[in-house]
Amino acid sequence: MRKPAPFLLLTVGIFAPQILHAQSAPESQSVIRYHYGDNPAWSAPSFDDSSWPDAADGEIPAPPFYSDGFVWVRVHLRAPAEAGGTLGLRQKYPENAPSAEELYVNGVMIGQSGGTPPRPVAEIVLQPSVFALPTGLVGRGGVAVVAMRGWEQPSHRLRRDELLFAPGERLSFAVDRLSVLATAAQNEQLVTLAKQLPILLPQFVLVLIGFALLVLWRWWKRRELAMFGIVLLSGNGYLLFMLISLAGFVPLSVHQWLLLWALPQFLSPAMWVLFFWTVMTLPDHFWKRTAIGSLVASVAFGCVALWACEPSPLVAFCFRKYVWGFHLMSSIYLCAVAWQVLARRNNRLLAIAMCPASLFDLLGSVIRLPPVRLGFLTTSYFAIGLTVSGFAVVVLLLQRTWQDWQESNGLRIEFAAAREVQQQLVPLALPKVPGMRFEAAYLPAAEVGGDFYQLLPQPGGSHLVVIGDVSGKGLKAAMTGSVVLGALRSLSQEDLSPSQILTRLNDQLTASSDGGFITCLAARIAADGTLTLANAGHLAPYRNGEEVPLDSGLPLGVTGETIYLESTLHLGPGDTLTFLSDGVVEAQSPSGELFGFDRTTAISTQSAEEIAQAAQAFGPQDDITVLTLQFAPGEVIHA
Amino acid sequence: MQAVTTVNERTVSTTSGESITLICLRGDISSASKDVLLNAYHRLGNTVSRVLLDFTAVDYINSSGIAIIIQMLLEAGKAGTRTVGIFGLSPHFQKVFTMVGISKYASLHKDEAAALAAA
Repeated sequence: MRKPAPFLLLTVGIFAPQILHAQSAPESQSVIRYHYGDNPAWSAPSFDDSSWPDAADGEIPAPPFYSDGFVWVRVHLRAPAEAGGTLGLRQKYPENAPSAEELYVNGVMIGQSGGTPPRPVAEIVLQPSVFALPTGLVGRGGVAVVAMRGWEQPSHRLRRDELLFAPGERLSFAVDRLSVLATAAQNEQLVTLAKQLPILLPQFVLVLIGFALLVLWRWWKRRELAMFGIVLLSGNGYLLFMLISLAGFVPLSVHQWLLLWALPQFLSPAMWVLFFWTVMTLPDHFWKRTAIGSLVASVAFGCVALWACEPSPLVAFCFRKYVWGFHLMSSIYLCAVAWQVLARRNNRLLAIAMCPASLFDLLGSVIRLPPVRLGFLTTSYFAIGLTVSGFAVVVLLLQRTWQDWQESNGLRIEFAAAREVQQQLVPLALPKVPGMRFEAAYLPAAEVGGDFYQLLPQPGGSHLVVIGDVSGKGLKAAMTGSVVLGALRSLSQEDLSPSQILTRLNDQLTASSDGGFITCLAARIAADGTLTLANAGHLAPYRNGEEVPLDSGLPLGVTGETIYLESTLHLGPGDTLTFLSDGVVEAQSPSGELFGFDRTTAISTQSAEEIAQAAQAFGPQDDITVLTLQFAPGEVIHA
Repeated sequence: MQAVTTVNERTVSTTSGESITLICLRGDISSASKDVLLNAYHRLGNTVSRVLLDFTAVDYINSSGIAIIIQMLLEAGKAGTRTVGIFGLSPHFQKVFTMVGISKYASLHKDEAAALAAA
């Protein structure tokens, strides 16, 4: 198990340490020698390699960038004398193994991984590491001359430390019984996996949380949950993919791997940026586009550098510039975090929670942060930052969502209470009144309003019709309407004229006013059709399709000095009166046009239900209340 | 979605040479406009005796907005030293202003020219 490309490791800065430290001590007993170039004769056991450089310290420099990329490695091993059964060769790789190889023992090719030029296939991890030796190739106690014909992809030759195998990460070979070697290889792979579990498990949990956030988004309809769900799925899913693929659990060629790598490599940090900009409501300006653009460039450079099988100046350029895009993105991102925390000064905790990974990415590029060693576990600051950020942001987001949900739940409860109160203000079932046909229609708006109307008997056989509207919305408006209603019921038991009723109401409401007002129209209808009206800022009624001219005082609750004048007219048989709330005339179309007085006048002779429906169809802004009266002396009619 | 209320002031002179302060309103007038409107009104110096409210650029006025206008007019009425005129209202809102009794506390005019001519 090893890592194939150091610049890929720079991408996440996480994978090398835990994989490398899963390696056991080298098992080769002989001197390892290497040589650049390619010559089939170098596989022969009789070839004298004593003039080749000695890699006894495990250091094999990478082939020159502008070369064919071949490097041969030779070692002489002795097979155990007492071994029974099939013999095998085990090859253990540290980081930076070749992209492809052919293995020869005593001049016979026993295995191949990937493909060498002229048909190059670079492997992300060379598989398998244990090869069976043909019967008779190596005798008991005999010598096995192992020759590895390795080929390095151009981007691999540009590795940072210029070593094919770095110190302490030595290539080693061993010849033993095949079953022993296979068992040892399997055990070591399991141990490696077990050692990686503390790294894999948090990523796996975060991926599951990502799915959960998407589910919660469907429920709570909060875009930030969906966005961070995608952040986790792309970011931590990407980390899982890198850990598993680079540890050799999924055999892939570099080209296959690239096709899987490019999208999450872009999507993961891009979603972090987009999420940050969205949650912090930052302006969609140049820097956000620059950060995203630098990511695109970086991924494109990475793809070009890793895809190439022939060295060229373009490949070298893309390799060198590959990490710059990520560093630029991290720099912009951290500046945005700093701006949010220091200048805009809101969502500071969330902003801080989102910065560790980028901070460690930049620090790592500047001061080469060492791996973090926690017992047997070796990881990186970047990985820790990313994991801690993931959990911290999830906690903060869920906390915000919960608080918002509680608030909205409180609003829903208030809305329900307000609606219940409001229902008392607009009784659709009106009392029977001899000689009068009443019809009422009420269409509530999305918000609870303060419309009210009442039909109340008065001493002397007349009836009082009152319609009004409390300014404002919600429970407060409904409760104010309820207060007006209570006062009206009390006042209606006295033999008061409409102006007296409005004056008394105004006195009560002005005393307790908090800046709002109530428009109110009071009409007393005598049995003989005499209609007396007083108006406190409400819409004038319509009589037989024509607006009744009224003198209007200020709405109730504004000032106690208002005088309400009365108007009197006489209703004849068949006359209709239409009372409205402002929800009719101020119904507003999507283009902003008001329903207005002209349309209202035109339909004022229609039934209450038809008028209300017409206004609602136009585009309601407010509660719509319509009350119609038809004077029909001699009849006993009810709504 | 309501448009934000903005206010700016300017001073004009009538043909008789008398100066009048214009408070030009823009956007929607609602409960959210309260501070903007009242602060603008209260910023006027004590020497300002004639004020015109310009509603030409106002798109919509709801009942809470009307309450604020009434509050301003009542303050002017109580002081007794300042007259207020209104112009630029659409016919709809001219009718609404009349309906709620505002016309008893402020003169309503079609446009700035008419308002200045009546001043």
